Amino acid sequence: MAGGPIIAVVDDDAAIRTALSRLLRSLDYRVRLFASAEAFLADGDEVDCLVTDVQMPGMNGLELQRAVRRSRPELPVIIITAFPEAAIREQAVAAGARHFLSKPFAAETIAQCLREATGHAG
Amino acid sequence: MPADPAGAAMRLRRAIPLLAGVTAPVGLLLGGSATAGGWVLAAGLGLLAATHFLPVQPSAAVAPDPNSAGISIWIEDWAEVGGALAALRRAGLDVEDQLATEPGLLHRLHHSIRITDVNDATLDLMGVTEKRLLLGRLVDVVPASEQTVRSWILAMARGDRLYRAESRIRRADGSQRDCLVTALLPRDPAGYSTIVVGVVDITDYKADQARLAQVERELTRAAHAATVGVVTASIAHEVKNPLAAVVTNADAALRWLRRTRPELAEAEAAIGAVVENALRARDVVDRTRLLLSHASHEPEALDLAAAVRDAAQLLERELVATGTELVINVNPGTPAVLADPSRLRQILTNLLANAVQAMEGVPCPRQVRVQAARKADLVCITVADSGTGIGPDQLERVFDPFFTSREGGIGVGLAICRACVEAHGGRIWASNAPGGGAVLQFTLPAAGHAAP
Repeated sequence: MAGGPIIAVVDDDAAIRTALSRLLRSLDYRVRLFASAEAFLADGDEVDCLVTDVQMPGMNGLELQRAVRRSRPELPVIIITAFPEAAIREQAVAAGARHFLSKPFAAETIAQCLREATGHAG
Repeated sequence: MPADPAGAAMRLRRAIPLLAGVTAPVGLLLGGSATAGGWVLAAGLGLLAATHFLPVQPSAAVAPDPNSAGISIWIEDWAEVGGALAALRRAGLDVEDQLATEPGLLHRLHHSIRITDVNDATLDLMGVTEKRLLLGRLVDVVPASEQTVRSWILAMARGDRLYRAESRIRRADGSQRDCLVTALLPRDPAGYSTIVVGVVDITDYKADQARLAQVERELTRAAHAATVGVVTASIAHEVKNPLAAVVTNADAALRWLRRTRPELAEAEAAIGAVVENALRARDVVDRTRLLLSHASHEPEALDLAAAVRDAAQLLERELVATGTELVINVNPGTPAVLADPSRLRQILTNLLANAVQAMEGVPCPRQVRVQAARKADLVCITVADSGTGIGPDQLERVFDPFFTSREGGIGVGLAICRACVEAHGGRIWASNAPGGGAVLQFTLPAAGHAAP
């Protein structure tokens, strides 16, 4: 458990952050939580996968995804959003997002995405 | 054409307020006639009459007066209708009931109406060259439906001073024109033999209005859809986040509990968060309801007939554009309702708009009847249309949010009605009239009759 991949969760909603933390830890991932895209960019180097919300104050999830693609093109990105609009999905997929999940999503859905993204059996 | 100048003068005087009716300041002039007396007003308007009403004078037969442009004047004899109304009144009978139940009454009255004179503008309007072709029984010249005549008679029975309606006439060449028909209704029995009717050809105006209304409808629909889209998207976002937290925490709790060595503390924390976020979702819904209801909703004693007229005014364009007749029939003695004004307006405009839309594509006459009657401590309001009614399998569902049977409909109108009615402790239901057409009924509390 202590050695599982590190998942970064970026969401401005604290309830979502802690809920995902509980779930991902139950799947034997290590989790780092960030309240904003800026916080992740400042301190998110050592992670194996990025799970980010789209609508956030400041830099949004799509902008974060583009920034990450320039600095760490190999980092898998999973987008989660309460606005599953086609336009947002297309941008996210065009920018290389591995998965695009509509909130709320079942645990098995995100577990499957993380397995694909990290190769971890969690 | 009258041979005696005195007769012409009499007709002229009678016609003056009518002309006022077909020119702009209707309300102003009618208000004046009510307070100052018709003939005083008529004298004051002599100038207007002299410039606009030359065609009924004998000389008008020689050459059309340029000032008469478009205003066709008909002198009609409704004496038999006047006599019948007086007889019914003496007998204490309700005119509407009698017209509905006495076989042949409406037909007989309809066929008794005679056209006794017309002006030259009328010949132009009707596309005939000889006046005699237009004189005689109204039914032979203008095949008006009995329903139209019925609405005239009911207006007379109510004691309305002014009758105004849109009508479609067929010219001699078969073409049809849309017209605004205006008449000053008689005050005394003698007046029924000389009713002056003004007819203005509004075909072009109506075509323009219809195009404008179409554009306006499209704009409104687009704006409405955009607003609904923005509102639902933000509600969706506000609600889905706590829901996502609920689902994820619940899933996490299950997983912590199903481990080989269950982690009770983790599961407990996750379940606590489930409860917390479910309550948060509820709060979002409550806040949204407050936001959308945007008022404190203090109930007031409201006069129903006035409320219906207000609502109808908001929908005047739709009513006119679709040729829908609105009949308001509030039983005498119906108490005021105790309701929030903005909600009552919302209920009535939604129901009227719904009725108008329900009759799209239904041949004329299109009619919406609003009735109100006391039922114990409640007032029951009925809105009935002459459309095709509601499918039996849909009667229960029409109030469901997002239920619509109309292409492009959003399906929130009746759902909003239900919410507004239920917020007053009332009930709303739908049925079909035995003769066809949808009937929507709702109850509201009657205002107490304690005198202030």
